[in-house]
Order: sequence, then structure tokens, then C-alpha cells
Amino acid sequence: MTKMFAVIGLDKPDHFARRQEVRPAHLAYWEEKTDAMVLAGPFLDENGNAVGSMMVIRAADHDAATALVGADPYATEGVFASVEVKPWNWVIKRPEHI
Amino acid sequence: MAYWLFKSEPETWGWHHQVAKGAPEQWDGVRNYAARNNMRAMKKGDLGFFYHSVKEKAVVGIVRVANEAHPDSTTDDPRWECVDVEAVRPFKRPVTLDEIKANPDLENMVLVNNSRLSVQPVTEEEWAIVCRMGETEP
Repeated sequence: MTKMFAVIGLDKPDHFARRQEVRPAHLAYWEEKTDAMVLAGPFLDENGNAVGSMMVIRAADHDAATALVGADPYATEGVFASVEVKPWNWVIKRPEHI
Repeated sequence: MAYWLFKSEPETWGWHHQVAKGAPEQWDGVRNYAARNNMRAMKKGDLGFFYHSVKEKAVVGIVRVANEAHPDSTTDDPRWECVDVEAVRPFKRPVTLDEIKANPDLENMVLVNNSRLSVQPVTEEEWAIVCRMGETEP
């Protein structure tokens, strides 16, 4: 009933401070969506600062996945410059609980 | 016939997705032994509440078990099995978790005492009470 999607969100330039402000809301948003969230973490620049997010989520279809990501505070609060949502499957080293 | 409750995040797999499917769909992704064992105990024709978790926290519809437990196609791990369910009818009035918790006749319901379990048994009496609260045919 659900499929996995890889999500690549890239931040607007020089938005690290804004990302830090929004981060608690982003974490709270996904914290309660335990079925949807598979894994997530930031892309880093050469200084180790986050400049985007990579996530893998579960959703019924591409529209549902896009809607889930569209309501992420990083999207609604102006952190992401672009978001790409692509159907994805975990094959190698897939944990037993996934 | 036995009765059950299936929890789902509405934005991930909501009642509208189940209805739009228009055919039996596997209740996949369950990776909890208690929930899996409940699905193994299901018989074709059993009914279940479709419960929206996260913010909404309400029973919103009734599904029927269309096919008994089989391997979950989303994993190669043979331990994980699931049933197929199909939408039967929506609740005329969604019944919220708060309403269920406030009803002393439902104090033993698994949803009240172990709300994290994603697939739960429901007694015949609980089934009738919750359907009545939702103004919906049992």
C-alpha cells in the first residue's frame, strides 16, 4: 500500500541560520510520522554546515509523498530552494525492520 | 467473525487512499511481532476499523479482510506477513480517541491501553459501541 521515495531538498544559498531556526519544527514534523519517515539527514558543505536534506519516506503514491514533503517546515518556512521526489527502493543492506 | 483495528497515518496511507484503491490492498510495512501475529489470526471476512493516527486520532471507516496472511511483498524477510484489506464503508461521524477514552465502556479497549500497537484486536462489544458512536452500521 505504500512505496518508498527518495527526497532531495536543496537549501537556498546562505540559509544555514534559517535552517537552524526551523530545524526543531522540521524534526517535530517528522517525529510523529513514524510510518512515513524511513531515514533522513543533511547534505553538508565543506565547512560541515547543512545545506540541504536527503530523506527516504514512505507514501501511498508520488502525490502523497510530494504533499508530505511540501508540508515539511523546511519547505513551508523558506529553507528549501528546490525539492525532488523520486520513487526509490532499498535493496542492499536493507535493515530487517524496513 | 472477529474484529480488528488498523492504524495508519492519513498522509501516508489514508482512508481516501484505501477507497481510491477500489480493490483489496496488502497492509504492508508492519515490522512488529504483535501486530503481525494479529494479522496471522485474521480470517477472510473479518472486519476492522480504519484508524487515522498522528493528529487526527479517529476511527474513520470500516475495512474487510479480503485475503488472509501472506508474505509482505515489500520485504524479502520471510518473518513479515500481512493481510489484504478492502474498504467497506466510511464512518458517518469519525470517532475520536478522546471520545473513546472518555467512554467507560471502552476502558479495556487495546487502543486505550496500548495505543502504539498498529494492528489491534477489538471485541464484539467494543465494535458495536464504537459503531454506534459513529452513527455507522456495525
